[in-house]
Amino acid sequence: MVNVMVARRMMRQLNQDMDVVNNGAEAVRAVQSCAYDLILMDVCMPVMDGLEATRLIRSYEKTGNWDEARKAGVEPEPHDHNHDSPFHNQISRKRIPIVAMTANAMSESGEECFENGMDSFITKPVTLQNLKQCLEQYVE
Amino acid sequence: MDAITQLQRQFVEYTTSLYREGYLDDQFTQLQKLQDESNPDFVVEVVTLFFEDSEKLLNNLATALQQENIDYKQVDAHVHQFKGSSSSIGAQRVKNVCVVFRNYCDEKNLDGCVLCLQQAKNEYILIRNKLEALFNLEQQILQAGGSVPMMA
Repeated sequence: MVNVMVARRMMRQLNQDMDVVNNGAEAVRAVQSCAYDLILMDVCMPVMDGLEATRLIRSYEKTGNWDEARKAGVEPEPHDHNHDSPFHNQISRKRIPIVAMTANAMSESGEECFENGMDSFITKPVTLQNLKQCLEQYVE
Repeated sequence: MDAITQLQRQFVEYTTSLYREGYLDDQFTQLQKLQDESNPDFVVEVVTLFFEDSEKLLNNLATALQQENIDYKQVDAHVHQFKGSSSSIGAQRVKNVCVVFRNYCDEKNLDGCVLCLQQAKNEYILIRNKLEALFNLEQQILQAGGSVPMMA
């Protein structure tokens, strides 16, 4: 997709690696299997929206288990290292900054983003400037 | 005035007119800034993807609006995607049509939706022709041995 291609190129220019997924459920799965410094979360997505994905990730960070995600049908893979075993809980339950990418539409309010556990939001289309600010604020 | 200078001047004037007439907005400048020696064709690549995406979405929209029972949620999802891709490359007039289009989706206003689809198609063809003309000018400058002027 066009916006992903642009965001990818911007992140590369800012010397950051990035994984891209297609919806909220895939975002939750990515967090289950990999450690991230920052999540840029689209709000409006098919299958599972960004608000729900954020709630599930926050629930995991709070409780150390993926029960809420399981209830929503996002089962962690057995080999995933962020799986809810007592050992892994110690290292992987750091709160990940989640920044919403909103379309500046009535249906996507910043307030809603905060209520669902997001840390801040940037308006689409993303620019090099606001991505850079975001990285400076949340990634060391 | 030599041929290269003339082409370069033409390029600057043409680009300026695209911004002035609202076909492009600042996001297109963003794309140009992302192009460098390691990615010399970035703008053309993104815009080509935008063309492919747009044609697919316009077709999907035409089909969706011809159904007996129109799924406005589906229509809105296509328009949302179109709005996202057009705003990502700075195709401002296409994006503006999408904003209005989404309102008609909300209201389940078929006449409004059909009208917006036609407008979106028209605006898309306009910006496609204009961007192709712009890339053409770029090629002519490069082939003549000149460099493409940087637009601030």
